[in-house]
Amino acid sequence: MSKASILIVDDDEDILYFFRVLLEENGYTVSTATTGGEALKQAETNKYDLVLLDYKLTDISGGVIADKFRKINESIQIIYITGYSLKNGEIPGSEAVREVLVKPIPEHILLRAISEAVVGQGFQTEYEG
Amino acid sequence: MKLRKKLVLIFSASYILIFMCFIIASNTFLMKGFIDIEDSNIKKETELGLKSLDLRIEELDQTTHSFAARDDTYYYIESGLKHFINELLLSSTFIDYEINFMAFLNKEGDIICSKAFDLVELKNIPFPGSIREAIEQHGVLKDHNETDNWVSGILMTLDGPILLSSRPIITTEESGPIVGTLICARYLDFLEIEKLKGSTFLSLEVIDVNDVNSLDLYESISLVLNGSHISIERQGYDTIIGYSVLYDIFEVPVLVLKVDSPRDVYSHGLLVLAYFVGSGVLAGFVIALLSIFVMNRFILVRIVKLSEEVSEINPHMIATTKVAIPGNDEVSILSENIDEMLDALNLYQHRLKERERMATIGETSAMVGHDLRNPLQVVYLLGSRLGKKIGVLRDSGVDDSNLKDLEYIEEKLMEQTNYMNKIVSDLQDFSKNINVVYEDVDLEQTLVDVVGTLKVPENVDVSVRVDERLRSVRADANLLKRVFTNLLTNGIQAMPKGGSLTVTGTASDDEATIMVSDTGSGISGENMSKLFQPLFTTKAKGTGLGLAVSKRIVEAHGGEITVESEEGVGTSLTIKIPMHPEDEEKSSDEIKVSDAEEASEIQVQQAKYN
Repeated sequence: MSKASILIVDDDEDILYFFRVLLEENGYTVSTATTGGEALKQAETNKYDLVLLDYKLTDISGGVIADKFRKINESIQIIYITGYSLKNGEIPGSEAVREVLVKPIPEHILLRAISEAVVGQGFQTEYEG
Repeated sequence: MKLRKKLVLIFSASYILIFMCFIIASNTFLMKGFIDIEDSNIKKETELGLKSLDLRIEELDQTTHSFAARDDTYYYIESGLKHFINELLLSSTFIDYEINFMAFLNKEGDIICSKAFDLVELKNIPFPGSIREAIEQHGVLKDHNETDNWVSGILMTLDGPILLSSRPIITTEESGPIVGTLICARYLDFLEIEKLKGSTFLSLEVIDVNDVNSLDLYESISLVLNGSHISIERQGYDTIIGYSVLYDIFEVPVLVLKVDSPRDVYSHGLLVLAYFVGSGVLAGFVIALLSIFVMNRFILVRIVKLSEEVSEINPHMIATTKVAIPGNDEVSILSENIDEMLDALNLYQHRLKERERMATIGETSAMVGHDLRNPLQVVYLLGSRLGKKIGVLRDSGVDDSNLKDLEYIEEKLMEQTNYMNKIVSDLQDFSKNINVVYEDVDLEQTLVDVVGTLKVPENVDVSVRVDERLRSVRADANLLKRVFTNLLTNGIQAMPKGGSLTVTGTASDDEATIMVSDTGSGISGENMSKLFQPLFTTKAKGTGLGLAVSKRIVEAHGGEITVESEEGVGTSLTIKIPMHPEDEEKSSDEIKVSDAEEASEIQVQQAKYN
């Protein structure tokens, strides 16, 4: 069974590195991007199942970029990873945004959110926590 | 224009206006009165003149009558013997009776004897032809049918006007038959006028109608001729003249009687008026000066002082500025009002600063919170990687004592990261608006849950007693959990040496009350006032946001939070929220928006004031 393919978009290289390590350890295929433009370019050439998207990017707002991902790939799932604590239950952007996780995100919460997002698409999940 | 200048102008204008009214009124009423009196006087005088002349004519007529109804005269006409009238023709008769001419006429109307006498030169003169002609010409003078017939009055002759009387000659017993006519006459000359003047004390003059050439005089006379008895003419301020017309024996206007009189009453009136107006001017002037002085002293000077003080107010020194004007009137009240306004302004300024501070705290919190979250995330991930590596090392048989040390490091790393996360969350919470999402909340269960999440030291005894009615309250459970967590954590931390923490929930019909009491160190009076201020804390590890946020959450619920504390005894924090909020929609904490509006309002007021 194929592994889910995940794109992580964040302007912090350290976060990208440790998230990549964590997710790869859990069997996901991981790509990273530091800007919105770079992320969209990658999304056009690769088919991603899930995007972990920093809400506040230097070039494009997360709210705008989420819609663009959906245009490229209708089934793509998006999870915001953000430093803001957003208002109660309010998810900015499009219907494509599945969940908002506020940094710092504990490992088990991140893994659970990812597995819930991809399980609906018939992917095998290795996380059992 | 300055108030003082305006005041002087208004006073001057009012003064002039009043003064003019005064003059017009006195002219209209006072002077008219004087003129009426003057008119009445000159009329009386003119009438006196007329009457005196009439009297003279009557005297002459009486004299003529006494000479005509006399047997001597009668016999003289019948007999033609002149000695009968010798006595009558003596000069003394003429002088005594003031007669210029005497003419005896027979029954046929012919003059049979006549004599003329000059009363100035006192000598006989020839009988003037003009008078003879006049007698011959006017039959009325000699045709007497009855014994009591007579003609007397003024007659114009070529020698001037004369006063004349014609009587039938009869016997002393006044019986007929009439034998002739006696005519006596006197010149109406300066001598006669002097006589009239002497008896009336008037300034008289008689003018021939034909000699009237002055237009004014002519007009006056026309008036008289047209019906007015007497007409009046004023010559300047000195003289008033009364005119009346004299008619001759044929009822023809022939002469004008002119009576001069000094305008005593009028000039006296003018003098009175001058005094009157003069004293009015003086009094008005004094009153105006006094008024201006009083206005200046009691109002203007003080307003100017107030204005100066107000203009000197330093916007940064409002708190200590006062503009007291002593007294107990509108000006001092104004100054008190300005002081009150300054106080209010000071309060607003204070609040504005406080709000600006809060806004700054909010913005800073949001920014710092966000910027700290990325590094925190990295540290989190570092911690969990460390944990995993420890597991790998243990599996590969590394000495357990070394690993214990590493495990302790990992544990502390995660603990400190969690604490940092809490600080960041508090900061970010504080910067956010609070929206209450109402649901049915079991407050008892909520409290028990919160107590369960806390790390309670062994020497602290926690008890929760909650009224049954609090098992269903309309509120936001998540928000209230944070409030309870804050209050309970504070309570536990206030009792480092142990104690008891009591949570009591009571209910009334419309209010839920939760009281959290500790037996800790208590709060000093100084700190009590700052308790709910953001960033105020007495803890070594505290952001000072817990109670500030709690207060906002409770107030967003439409409730209130209060504190009672005694140093060394303990502290009780009490929350009251409505059981059934009236309007759940409105219950949110839109503090930023309303603050901004209020702040701009204050700025506008300040701008106006400056």
